[in-house]
Amino acid sequence: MKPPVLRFLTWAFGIAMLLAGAPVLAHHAFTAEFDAKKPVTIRGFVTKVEWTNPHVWVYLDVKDEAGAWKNWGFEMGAPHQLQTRGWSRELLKIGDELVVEGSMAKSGPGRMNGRNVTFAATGKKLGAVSSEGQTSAPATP
Amino acid sequence: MKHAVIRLATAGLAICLLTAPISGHHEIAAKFDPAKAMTLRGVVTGVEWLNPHVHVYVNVPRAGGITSWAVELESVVDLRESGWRQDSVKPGDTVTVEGIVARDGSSQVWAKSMTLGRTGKQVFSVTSPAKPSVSASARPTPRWPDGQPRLGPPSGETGYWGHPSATMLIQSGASVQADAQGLLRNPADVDKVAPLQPWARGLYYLRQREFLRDDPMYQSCLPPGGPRMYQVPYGVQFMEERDRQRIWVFMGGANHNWRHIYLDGREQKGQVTGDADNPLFFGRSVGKWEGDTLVVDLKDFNERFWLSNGGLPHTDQLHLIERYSRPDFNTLRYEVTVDDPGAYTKMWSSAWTLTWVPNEELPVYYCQDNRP
Amino acid sequence: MHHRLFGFSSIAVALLLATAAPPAFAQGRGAAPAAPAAPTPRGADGRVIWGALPGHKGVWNAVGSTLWDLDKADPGNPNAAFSSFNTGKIKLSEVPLQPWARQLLNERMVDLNEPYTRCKPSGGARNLFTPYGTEFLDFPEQKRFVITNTGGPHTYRIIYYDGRPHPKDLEPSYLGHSIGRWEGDTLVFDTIGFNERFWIDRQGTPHTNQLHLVERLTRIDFNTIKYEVTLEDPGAYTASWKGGFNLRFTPDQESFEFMCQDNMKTSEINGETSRVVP
Repeated sequence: MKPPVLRFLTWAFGIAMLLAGAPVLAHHAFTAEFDAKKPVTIRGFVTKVEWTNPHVWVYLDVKDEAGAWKNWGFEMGAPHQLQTRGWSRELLKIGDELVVEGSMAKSGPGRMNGRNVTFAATGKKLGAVSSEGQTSAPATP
Repeated sequence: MKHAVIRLATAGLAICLLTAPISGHHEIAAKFDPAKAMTLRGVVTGVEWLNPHVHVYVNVPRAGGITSWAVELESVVDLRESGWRQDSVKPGDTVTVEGIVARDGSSQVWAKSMTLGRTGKQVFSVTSPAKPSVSASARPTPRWPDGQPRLGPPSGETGYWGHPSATMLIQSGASVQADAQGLLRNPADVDKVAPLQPWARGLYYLRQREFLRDDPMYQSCLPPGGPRMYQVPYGVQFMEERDRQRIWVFMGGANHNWRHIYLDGREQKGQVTGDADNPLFFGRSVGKWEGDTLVVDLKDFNERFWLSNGGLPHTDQLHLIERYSRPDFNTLRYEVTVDDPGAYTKMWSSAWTLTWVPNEELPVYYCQDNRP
Repeated sequence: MHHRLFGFSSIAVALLLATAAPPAFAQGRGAAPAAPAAPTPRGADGRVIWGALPGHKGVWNAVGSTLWDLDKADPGNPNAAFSSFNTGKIKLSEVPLQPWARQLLNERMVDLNEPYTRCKPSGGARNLFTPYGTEFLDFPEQKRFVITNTGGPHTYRIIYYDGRPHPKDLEPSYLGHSIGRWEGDTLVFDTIGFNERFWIDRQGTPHTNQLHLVERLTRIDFNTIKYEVTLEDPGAYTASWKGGFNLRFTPDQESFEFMCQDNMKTSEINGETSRVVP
């Protein structure tokens, strides 16, 4: 077991690194478009996949409480980021049923930033490489 | 209407140019109707000094009030080249504009001329920059110490490649009339341009009939992949990293992007943490020198751009073979073979030249300048 | 015994200690200190090699997002990831912002609606904060130094060290006009001619078209490029000030094609339109 001082300092270092300008991988600011205070989860069927830079966008037909269909789009990371997290261009198919957790766009329902995607058929869950509050490799001064 | 026939003996192609080649960035007829001329006169409220097109906002009196018109002009780069500056026209000035009106009925006009009230003189007129004059005895091809031709300037000099001798991609041996944006004078000439499959011919014809309105470079500032990068305004520079076996191709225009040509014998595939899974606008370029010619192979293109001024279609099967040579100091010869079994009935080729612009750097132009 | 960690001052001291010597502590229990980085690589001509060694791959990525550190840690702020704390940079309270500029920065730090996200090239420090790989290219024959970016606008920036002056009639641009010279292995360059249509860092530290930068780049060891900048802008600041950060070498990574315009939706989401463009 670590001596207490070392344990304390390791904790403190972790906090320091969290705050110390860890390079965010995203190319843009989440808060310009999305609202972290408006979490949202949707479930629907893939209608379109835009596997592009700067962000992959996937569109789902989602049924609301009233039973009406609405098309939602959710944003993920860039293709090269997704590739290293288990995604590929061919993974999503039109008609796939997905559950997507994330944050709603400031402009309101219909657009969101995706944090996780769960494939309803298999239960497989993948991170969406969201640009929300990402921290990555520790900064070295 | 002036036109000029340019015959290139070596390339064997001829293009009749409809008008003198002003460096327009998109087909004016896509947005404005050449058949709807108008003259307006009013007071300037602002000058939006941005690429691709400068806009002057003019309040024009009408019955019961004022209409704010947006007058579209050439680019900042072109206007500056012709001696104009942002304050050549100021808010409060009265101007008279002769031009053609936007097709969509909005209060926008493309200016053929703008006259400043207080001087009576034309402002913001653009004359195409003259192609550098080439003396009869051009300097020889500059070379690296090992004899390989240089694609850039010799040590201590600067310059870039501009003034493409053709601004439309057309198969060698063919001859059509078109403007500098690749808009055919006669849409029926589509069959002469390239050996198109029927679906591709239909699409090309549609793009032409709609005055190139859906050009992704115009609509969304998507880059001019493939041969188009050598036919758009503002030139290219090649910076050769010989110890890395890599060439950087820098564009002056479009989005002022860079692209790589790899000479290290690698396979044409990207890296997983890079663009491996993402078909490209510029394709994957691998090349080697064969004597004095750089032969470059390109593939893995996406379908989100137009291959040429004028909108020749392509598919993701597109495979290009480029040949670069520099027969003398001032001339870059570019030949391209288009191999796309998805859109064309056979392979076909085209060739043109670029001219060295000495002692100048690439213009700085960004298509995305005037987007929101 | 269990340490109870209350009190900002004790945390501050702990953080100061932690950041002072991260490698050892980061390893956890009793690990050996990390090996020092290899020295700055040089070519046969003695000049610094600014990229990977020939035959190898690697690109650079900046550490951080701003030229300054927050005065106080702010973990409740969703934009905290875009500001550093206690990394040795000038503190935000010490940046000599004019009042209008401080007000503007406060607004920008909330929304972070920076022009970069709409594919605008962004000069100053933002140019080096571009993700996915930055390269530094030295062309001594042409006496120029080129900085290229994979991400964002996927563009390049040229620094001329052939002795030329700034042009008299400079059209303001996103990346400015840079002229430089070598001081030993440090490239020192002077940049003017900025427009005001971009942000100079990710939080939106303001500037005007009077911005004048004196920038310095040094590859201090194999893994690190040090960037230092003195900013002068009488339109936004009451005095000149200095900032800086490091870039880290990412081996085995190459620059690749990335097009911000490919599917840029920021304007669509934000409902921003232009009267005159398609």
